[in-house]
Amino acid sequence: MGSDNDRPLDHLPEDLVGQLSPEVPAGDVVAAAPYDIDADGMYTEGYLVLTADRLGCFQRNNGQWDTRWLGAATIGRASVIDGLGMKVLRLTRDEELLAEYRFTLRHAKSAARIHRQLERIIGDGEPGQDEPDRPDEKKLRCDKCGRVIPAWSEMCPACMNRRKILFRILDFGRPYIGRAIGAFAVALVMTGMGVAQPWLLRPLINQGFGAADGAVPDYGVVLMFVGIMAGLMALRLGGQILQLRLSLGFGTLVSRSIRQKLYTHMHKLSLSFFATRQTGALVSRITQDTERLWRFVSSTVIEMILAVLTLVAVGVCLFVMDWRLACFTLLPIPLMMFLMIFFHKRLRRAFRQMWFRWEQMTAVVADALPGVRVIKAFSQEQREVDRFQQRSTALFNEERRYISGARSVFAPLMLFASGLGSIIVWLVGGWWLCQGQTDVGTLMAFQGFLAMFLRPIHEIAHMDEMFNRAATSAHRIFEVLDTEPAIFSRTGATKADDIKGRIELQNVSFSYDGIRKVLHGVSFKVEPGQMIGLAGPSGGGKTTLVNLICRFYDTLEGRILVDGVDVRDYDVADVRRKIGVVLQEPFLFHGTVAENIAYGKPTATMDEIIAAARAANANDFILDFPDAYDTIVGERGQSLSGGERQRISIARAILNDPAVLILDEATSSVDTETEKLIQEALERLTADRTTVAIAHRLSTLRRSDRLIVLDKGIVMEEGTHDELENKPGGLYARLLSMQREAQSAIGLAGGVTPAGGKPEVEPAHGPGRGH
Amino acid sequence: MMDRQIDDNLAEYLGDSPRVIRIERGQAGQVVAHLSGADEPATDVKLVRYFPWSMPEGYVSIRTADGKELAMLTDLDVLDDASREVVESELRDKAFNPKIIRILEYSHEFGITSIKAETDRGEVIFQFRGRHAIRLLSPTRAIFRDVDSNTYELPDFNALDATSQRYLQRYF
Repeated sequence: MGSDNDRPLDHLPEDLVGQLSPEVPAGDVVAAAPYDIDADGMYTEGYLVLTADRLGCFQRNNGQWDTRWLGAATIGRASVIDGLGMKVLRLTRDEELLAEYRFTLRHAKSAARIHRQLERIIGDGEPGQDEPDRPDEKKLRCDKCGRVIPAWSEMCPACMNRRKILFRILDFGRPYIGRAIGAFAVALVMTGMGVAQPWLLRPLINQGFGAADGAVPDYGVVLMFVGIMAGLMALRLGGQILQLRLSLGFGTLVSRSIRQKLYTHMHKLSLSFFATRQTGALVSRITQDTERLWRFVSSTVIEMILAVLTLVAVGVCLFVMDWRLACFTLLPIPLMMFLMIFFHKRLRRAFRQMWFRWEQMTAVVADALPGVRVIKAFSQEQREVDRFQQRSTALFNEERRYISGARSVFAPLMLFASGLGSIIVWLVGGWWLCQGQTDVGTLMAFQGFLAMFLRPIHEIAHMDEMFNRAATSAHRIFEVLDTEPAIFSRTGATKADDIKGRIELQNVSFSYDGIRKVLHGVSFKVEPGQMIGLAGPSGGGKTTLVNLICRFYDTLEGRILVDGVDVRDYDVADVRRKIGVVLQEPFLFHGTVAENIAYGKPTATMDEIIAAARAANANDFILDFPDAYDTIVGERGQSLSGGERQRISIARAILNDPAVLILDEATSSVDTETEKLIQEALERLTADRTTVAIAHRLSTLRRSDRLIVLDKGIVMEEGTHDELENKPGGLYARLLSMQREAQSAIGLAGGVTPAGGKPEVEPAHGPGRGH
Repeated sequence: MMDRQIDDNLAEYLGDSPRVIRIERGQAGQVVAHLSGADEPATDVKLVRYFPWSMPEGYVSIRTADGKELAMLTDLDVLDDASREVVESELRDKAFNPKIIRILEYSHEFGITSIKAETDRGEVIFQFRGRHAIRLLSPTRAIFRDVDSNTYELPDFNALDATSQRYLQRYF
């Protein structure tokens, strides 16, 4: 994504670049975007190329490029229209249509980018800096081959170099290389001993049992060979224990260092990294993927090497013993290989099909059970049951096909094929034995060797899959490790030690997806100690503004100054430490109440914790809990009501003593008494602190030094509560009167939001301790 | 056109929608709506289908550019021919949902399905992942939503040729 920004021509076909280059130097191109629908609504291949003073349009037509240039000065207005499954870039001048270009949603982002630059050129006469790179955002397509990247991966699985990746894992093992070499050496010796076992059968039977020509049974010889066998077995026992200790230990060491490095790195990445990924997928990266690597490093690698060695060693033994018999005995091996490859493909395909049905069925359950209240309320149980039964039957049919098809045939066939080897030995070997060309000991040894064949063959057949799996896991991990954080402290970043709390926004614009702007040129100033209330309908951009001030994201255009310095010039961790956040649905970690209050300041003393809780009016309800401050909250702990959570979060902020406070007020209604307690706590918290509050409560709105009313990302009004309240036709005045009506209708004192626009009247979850 | 029954207690919510008198094109090709009860025509309105998939023929909302509804058109037959033509051409022009005629190639790799299809808008290759990408509108009609959120409609599974059916069998 970043690369199209820096070099807009990279994504153009070569012949077009060739045609362009004599007249338009690459450096002049501000933005380029493919468009793929023509005026008749048919697919086409076209490109828009924008320079500072003109817009070129190229559409492929029988190997030629139909070209049209539009002077930027002739364009009066550029707008993007959202259609159903498409975007239209419309260029007009004084009521006259100049051109329309149509994009499928695949090119929505580049269309938005060219539109932004066009608007800047029309407005300021020159293009501007666009969209900061967010290298930790998940990519949709591979930069190299254009393939779509699966949800579970960070990079194109088709483009990854498996061998290189696997070597990189082993690189993590370098500090422990001694163990790996030791494990391998032991394994090597063990293979030799394993092969020796059947080899010993021949002299045991021929000489010991007297099966060879002219030999007589000799118990002394029997004892000797049995003794050697027992000795070898004991050695193998010891060797196996040693080998497992070494290799498993090596694996755990490697997976520990990968796991820890991965988690540490994840916490360096910014919010956009997490916002574009599912939490579950990230969790599995730390748990499952590292576990898989552990298995790979500790056993797969060695097993693979051993499997190959064993096959070769057994093969050599067979040929040395009796090369003619060996040739016959090995006949079923290609058959087994073929069976494995043949069924492997089929089983995989059938399994995928089954998985698809399985997912469809799970979806019904996952969808219905959380909504069981609604199902019961509208008595639609039967419909849900029917829906499930339909999907369940579809799964059943697929399973039946799978079982009766490949699944039930494969394993028996494999056993049969490997049994063929034995039969051949008896058949062919038996004939030679009767002819006196071989002896019983050889035949028995052959049988012993054959038994050693099955497992390595099986392992080698699955080798590809095992390697792929490990490489995929490794890749998922390395991609995270290789991701650069989008938000980082510049070298030589300013220390934010004594921030006073003056905040200034200069012409700030922002977009999460690079397509739709959610803030348009927002500017305002907050003096130290002042309180600013952000009001406006939901989706107006209030939370986004707060995200930018905390520097969870960087602005698209404009800048944010804290004490006169661009926030991007501060050390990130430093500046965040100076900004306190009270969220409307505060997150409580699993731990005690005291630990949660002291989350931002783990060194806080007991006295400090209690003082903060008192200031937040939380002391009383905390002492009502069974274990008071030692009560466990969070998942599976004591459940807290919304009002209680808020006060814990206020206590957290008070304890942290930030210079700047971000307050995301709750919209949910609480009872009058609780409301009063929260208000008091908030007043203590905001006193003498620069506060930016997403304000819903009348009391906060009134108390703010200034209100900023945002709608659709634009500052609509600015002023004190009193000024705005009486502004005729004002948005704030309208929201306020709506709130008052709602309040008098519902009869609530102060909970309902004027600004949020979501009246939280949810009969099912009243105030009080949930569940 | 269709049976439009409504409960008495709900009727009042639909009753006060202004009537559409005439719809025409403005100079720059924008849509202009003349509505009852308004002195000025609404210039540059946006037309949005209420049910783009389940009822693509009727039910059109007439909205301002910033998303406020001005009127609701349930049945295009009430319009004069010229207005109707404007509405239909505008809806066609601002919607892009190719209909799949034939599947040319199908592949599945790393959990991503890639389909090359012939559609009424030309040939296209698109990719999607997971079960959420396929929506069955009826046992034989489906919508595929690709990774970029583009949609491709398969109007009738049974009308496909045998090869295409074999590729898509799993979804039906």
